[in-house]
Amino acid sequence: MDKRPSENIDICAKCHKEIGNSYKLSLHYTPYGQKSIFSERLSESEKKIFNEKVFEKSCRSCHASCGDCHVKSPVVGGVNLGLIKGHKFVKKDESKTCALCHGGRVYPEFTGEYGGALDVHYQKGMMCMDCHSIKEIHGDGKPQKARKLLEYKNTCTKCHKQGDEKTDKAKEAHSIHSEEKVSCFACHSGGEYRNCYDCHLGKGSTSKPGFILGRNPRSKNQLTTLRVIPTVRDTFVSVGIKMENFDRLPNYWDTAPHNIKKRTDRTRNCDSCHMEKKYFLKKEDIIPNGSKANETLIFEFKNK
Amino acid sequence: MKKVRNLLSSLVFFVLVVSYAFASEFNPIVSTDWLEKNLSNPKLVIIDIRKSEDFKNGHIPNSVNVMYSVWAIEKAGKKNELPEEDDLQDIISNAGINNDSWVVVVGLSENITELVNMTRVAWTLNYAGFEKVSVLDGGFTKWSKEGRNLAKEPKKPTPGNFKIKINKNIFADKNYVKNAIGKSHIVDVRMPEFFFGVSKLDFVARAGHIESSVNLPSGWIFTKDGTYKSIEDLAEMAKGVIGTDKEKDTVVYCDTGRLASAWWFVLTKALGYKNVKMYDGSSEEWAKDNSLPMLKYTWK
Repeated sequence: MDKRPSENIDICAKCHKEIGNSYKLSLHYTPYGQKSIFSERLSESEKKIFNEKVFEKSCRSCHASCGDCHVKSPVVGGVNLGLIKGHKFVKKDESKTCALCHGGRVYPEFTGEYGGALDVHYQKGMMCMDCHSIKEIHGDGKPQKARKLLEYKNTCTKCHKQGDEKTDKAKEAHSIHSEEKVSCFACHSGGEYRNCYDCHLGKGSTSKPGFILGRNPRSKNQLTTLRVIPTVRDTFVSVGIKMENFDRLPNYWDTAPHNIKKRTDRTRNCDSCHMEKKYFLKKEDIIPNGSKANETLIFEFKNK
Repeated sequence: MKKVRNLLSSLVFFVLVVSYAFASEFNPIVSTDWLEKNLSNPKLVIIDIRKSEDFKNGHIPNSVNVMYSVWAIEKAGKKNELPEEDDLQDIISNAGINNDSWVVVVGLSENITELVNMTRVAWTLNYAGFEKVSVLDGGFTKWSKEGRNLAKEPKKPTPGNFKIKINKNIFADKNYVKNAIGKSHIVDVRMPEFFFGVSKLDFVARAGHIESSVNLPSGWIFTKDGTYKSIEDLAEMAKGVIGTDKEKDTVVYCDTGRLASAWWFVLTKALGYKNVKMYDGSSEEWAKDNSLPMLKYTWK
């Protein structure tokens, strides 16, 4: 008997043709996000080795079949929680279908179980699919390359339009700190989130909570929340990959912590950023032996 | 005509019974029977503190979901802390609490942590100046086991008009407790092995208890099925450990300010002790300060 019948998407696609065909190209299935942007660190010859020895053997094992979300919880970190709802297919139960794979950082941040504050959206009873679209999950029929590159990825301003604020104080604050200059997360992320460090192939990484503000690597004029990514210079050295272009990408990426609060120490007190420069990435705090691109993320604050 | 008369009589009788049940004297620990009879009373605000996922799977009709972690947050490295005052005002308003409301807090009752989550929320509401707060005896767990009605559609409350008036009289900080040593009753509500310093939780820096404290475990308040023991039994426990002087200053504490809320609630609301404070920082804060002694293996 096949233990994961929906591993072959065509089986489900017999009835769910459109979803099946789209899903085959989605990040949840391919998972190309794990190599598309990261590959910039690699030379052409290294890309081939990476594909063969890392992506196909390690990253690809993490993709989700239909049944992983709709029938049986995926085995994560050796933990097998079994069937989601007996032998019934489950259309949607985000606390299981999403939370089990995204339970390292996103879901515990969202529910407050990682420490700090729970997300205001969760507080109001909202769940993953109240913000994220089905296209993000099942794909759009075209090959998805990376989560951050999806034109239909969720944004705060889809619901929270600038100008619709209830108070003058909020209107003024949002007008001064426009989204081009400061991301929503920079002010409204409620506290520390998980940062992973020092990953080595086959050994994994270590993690600790942190909160870092700096320039968005994808949009350098914007101040945003940064998350340490665990790839270091010798992460793949055991398979002969030195990452010849390691310094092209930083070790910090812009991140959307799922711990949003209406009020934070930054929204309550301008001094938090403008005087104390609390949480700002500093040269002395940058991870040792990191990418040369890291320093470009330091935000030189100009006090008015 | 006779049918109409009978129907009217029944209706009047029903209204009277319901009115009587609701108008009856405030009870801090309400039963599932009482709650079921009062479900439709517009002054009742039922606050379900379970996780949102559980709430959506079924909840007491007319209840609103304000999860425990909204009421007690992690702040400055300490667990179970009060929200900032502006946030607390929002939480209370958004729950639909009015000046004349009667709040019933509903949570799970499978273990001591779940049971004291309800009393911690009751303490927080009292800290915000809202006093008419009860807890559901046995919580949602009992309601559900009894096969009572469940709703799945969440109720969206109209924002309430209650404005918070912080009541510092039920709150103790580290300095207050330092000064209370040897003067007030200081009550350690953890289990005896924690009081004596044989065990401690990982996040508590040192084992033992605050000098001059006495031990009255919160675990003793509840029966095995997660309901409250009789008022007579609870009164005897309190009498045996802190006596019957209901005016004397009393401070209850535990590890994080959650477990202690149970004895704060019982002493204040059910037994009429008038000057009981909860040390919110509790051992988590106290044990970090090496200048403050913690005693082990002694009653003193």
